Amino acid sequence: MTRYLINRLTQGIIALFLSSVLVFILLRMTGDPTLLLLTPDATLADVAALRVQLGLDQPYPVQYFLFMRNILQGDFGNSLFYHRPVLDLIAARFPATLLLAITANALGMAIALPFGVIAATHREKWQDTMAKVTAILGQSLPNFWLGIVLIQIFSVWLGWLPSSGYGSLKFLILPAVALGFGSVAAILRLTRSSMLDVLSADYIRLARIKGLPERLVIWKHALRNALIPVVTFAGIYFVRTLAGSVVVETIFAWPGVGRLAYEAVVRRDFPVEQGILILFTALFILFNLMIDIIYLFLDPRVKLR
Amino acid sequence: MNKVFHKRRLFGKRFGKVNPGVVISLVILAGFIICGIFAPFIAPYSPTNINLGDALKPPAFQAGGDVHYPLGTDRLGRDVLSRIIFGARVSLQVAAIGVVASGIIGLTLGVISGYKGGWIDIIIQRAVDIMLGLPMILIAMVLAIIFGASILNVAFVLIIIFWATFARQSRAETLKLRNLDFVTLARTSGTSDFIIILRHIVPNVMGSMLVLATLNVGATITLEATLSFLGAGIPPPAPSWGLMTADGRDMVVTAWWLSFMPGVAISLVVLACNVFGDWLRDRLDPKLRTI
Amino acid sequence: MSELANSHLLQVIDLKTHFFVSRGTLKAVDGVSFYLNKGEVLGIVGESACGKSVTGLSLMRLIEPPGKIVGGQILFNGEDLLKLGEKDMLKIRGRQITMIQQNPDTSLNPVFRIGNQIAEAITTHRKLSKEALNEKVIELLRLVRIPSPEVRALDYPHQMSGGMRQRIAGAIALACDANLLIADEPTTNLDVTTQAQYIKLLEQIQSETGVGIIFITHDFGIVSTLTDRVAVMYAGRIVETGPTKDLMEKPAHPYTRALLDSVPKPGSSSTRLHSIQGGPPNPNKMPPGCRFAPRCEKVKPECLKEYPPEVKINNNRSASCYYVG
Repeated sequence: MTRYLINRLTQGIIALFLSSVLVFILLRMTGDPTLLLLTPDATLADVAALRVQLGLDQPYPVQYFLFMRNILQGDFGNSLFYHRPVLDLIAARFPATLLLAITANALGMAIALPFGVIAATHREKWQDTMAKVTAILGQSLPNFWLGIVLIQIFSVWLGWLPSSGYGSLKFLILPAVALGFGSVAAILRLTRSSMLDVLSADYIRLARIKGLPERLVIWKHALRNALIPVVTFAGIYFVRTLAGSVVVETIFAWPGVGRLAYEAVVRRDFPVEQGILILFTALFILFNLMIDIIYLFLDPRVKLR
Repeated sequence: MNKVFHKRRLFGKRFGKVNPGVVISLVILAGFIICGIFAPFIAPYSPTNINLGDALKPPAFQAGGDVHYPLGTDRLGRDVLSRIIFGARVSLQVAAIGVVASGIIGLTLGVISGYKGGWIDIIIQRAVDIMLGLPMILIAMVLAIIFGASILNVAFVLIIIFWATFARQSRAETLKLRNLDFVTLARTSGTSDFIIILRHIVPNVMGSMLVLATLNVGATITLEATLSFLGAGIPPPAPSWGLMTADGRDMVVTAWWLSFMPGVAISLVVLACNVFGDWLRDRLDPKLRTI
Repeated sequence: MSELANSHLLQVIDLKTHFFVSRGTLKAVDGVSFYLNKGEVLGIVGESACGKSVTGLSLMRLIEPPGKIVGGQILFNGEDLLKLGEKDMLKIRGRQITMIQQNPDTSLNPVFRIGNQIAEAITTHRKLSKEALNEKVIELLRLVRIPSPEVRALDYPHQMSGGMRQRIAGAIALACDANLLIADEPTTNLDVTTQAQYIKLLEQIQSETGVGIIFITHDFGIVSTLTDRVAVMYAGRIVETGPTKDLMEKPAHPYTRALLDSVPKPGSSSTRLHSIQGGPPNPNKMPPGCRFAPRCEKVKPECLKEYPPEVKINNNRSASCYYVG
């Protein structure tokens, strides 16, 4: 088990390193980033000072080293718009993004898991057809459009829920649904196919041989096994919704990192966008590592390896 | 020795029993492609023709609507229907560039990776893993700041994202094929690697590439629309569906059709791609069937 | 035979289990009748896909769609199981009739500890205190000869060998002192040494607990050591039954003979296996006459017309063939 952990950790660190190189290349391939990092009213002296600070007069490996040193010290530069450290801005917005992503995914799981199980146990019946339709819709409807339609229906026409803002639970519902719909579809699909795999297993028959009622056969013996790939995937999907929240946060004026990223594009606030990209990349890799560790506890078979 | 070791039957005798969803999808996709290619001949108006006198007309079926503008007009009096038809052209271009280019790159790298193995394989695999693990929307947004929003920017982003999906799939297929008898036989009889790949590997990988390409057409259209929506994709005044949706966003109260209609277009085309892609996958390889 | 019905633990009459697939109706079990007395061991022998496993599952009423039991009676202690509601059937499964499945690698749930899996078999039918339950689990593990049971109870299935897992399956089957144990080729996926140990263990358990066993197999070697009586199955029907020793010495049905001939006899100098020509009929299109006729060496015209009636050879033996003997 410890060996597996060490292995995974090493892989995670390698992935972090390679991603940082990649992001570095992406960000530097434009040549001179100084102009992007300074406000238009910067003087030539400012430019020269920044060039030295970033080490742009140095060879690329040294530049990379300086780039990484700044990142590891938490120095992502200052926002051109807010004139505040990028890290502070992101940190202040992150809880809202996390809240939205967690709610959306919790909602997704709560709906998708039971319906995925029901679809699998009612194969080719109407429940299954419903699941198929939901899955393909969730896969196909773009979430920015879904968000707007939700606003149209529930805010404009029915007047039940606010169209934008942050505060009480009311504000959370529409963005969470818009963000969670894709995850409902994906998890529904996976739960169904995973359950179908498991239901044909001999140990499911063993549970029936024992005289267990069907309820326990399905929801205890089958689901516990079917959950292993589902939870792994849900973890990956959760990370994706963190980045996908850019769209939903923009539509619903949700004050999270996603909206910050959108505003940064509009304001051409390069340091903020760069900081978000770097932090989210690291977050992606760390989350994937965490998912692997959770997997360890879900599937006892992994421990031997 | 046969070139293609088994031709899977795509349109066999069971063709008569086609499911209606697939037929509708094909009709939608055909309509989409025709609109994309022949937009100037189909659209009643120019997509950029401003006519402030007819601004914000609701769709024809709604009170106050004008039969000349079946889906209404936007705040500059541009015909929404015409813009959607021309929008198909933008989506089609982006999808074609994105899928073809990333398909060729991905297929090449994937087949080499799977066939050669060794350090090449390890490097390509790692690159694929990292690519698929990166927050792509954010990368696109960074690039939009660096280069400014442009169709080139979008194409570039689509290629760096989607090549990895093609590479992963074609590598997996190549690994399966590599150890089959007819490939081994060709190898031991001294055929060059290049010929083996071209004659024996690529034709057999094409089926699943086709499925992936169909599904990826939907995904690229969604991504382009999303990026344009966020101001990191196609710049105005081009009639991109995503851009149109974004334009109408702050007018949901007064002019609901502005963002609703282009969204319907995106949804229908992507839905059609997914339904058709799933069907194609079931046909080509029932073992891959998911739902 | 019917006047004896009440003394039988199990009597199966004209059981039919069909599978309704797109290609047509597969008559996997098509009119099977046999009985089992208390404490008896019956072997059901046949080639793969002859319907013997489906018969076993039918007895527990665990046939899943597209399969369905379409006819017959399963009298267990005189009560027809096919007339019970699913709720009452739950009280029979695991409690009175139980089963060991074929594949030890997949028959235990990989995510639960084996101790808990055994305990579940008990608590499904009986309420026990925690201590009593633990004790019972350990006792069952001892019964199936698991060394240091207190420790192994905490193992997951993948931490055990195939033979051990199959013994755990046995412990689960025996958890509620069932009267009838259906063993569906429990040794097929074990290596030869483990197989022999397992058969020996079953024999010991049978004599200790007096459980009635239906042993499903294709292996006459196991049949001869373990069973009291045999039923030979071919293409969804039982073609011959009788006491094991008698039947193996003097097989009446040509199929039984052919099957026995294909088993290498110990001490026989010939290494050549006498195998049967051809394959069993397509269960989709059963021939109208004797189902073995197309492969039979002694086939006569009437064999192809109508299915031969069951002929009594003596008090204990019968066979379905026009040319018994």
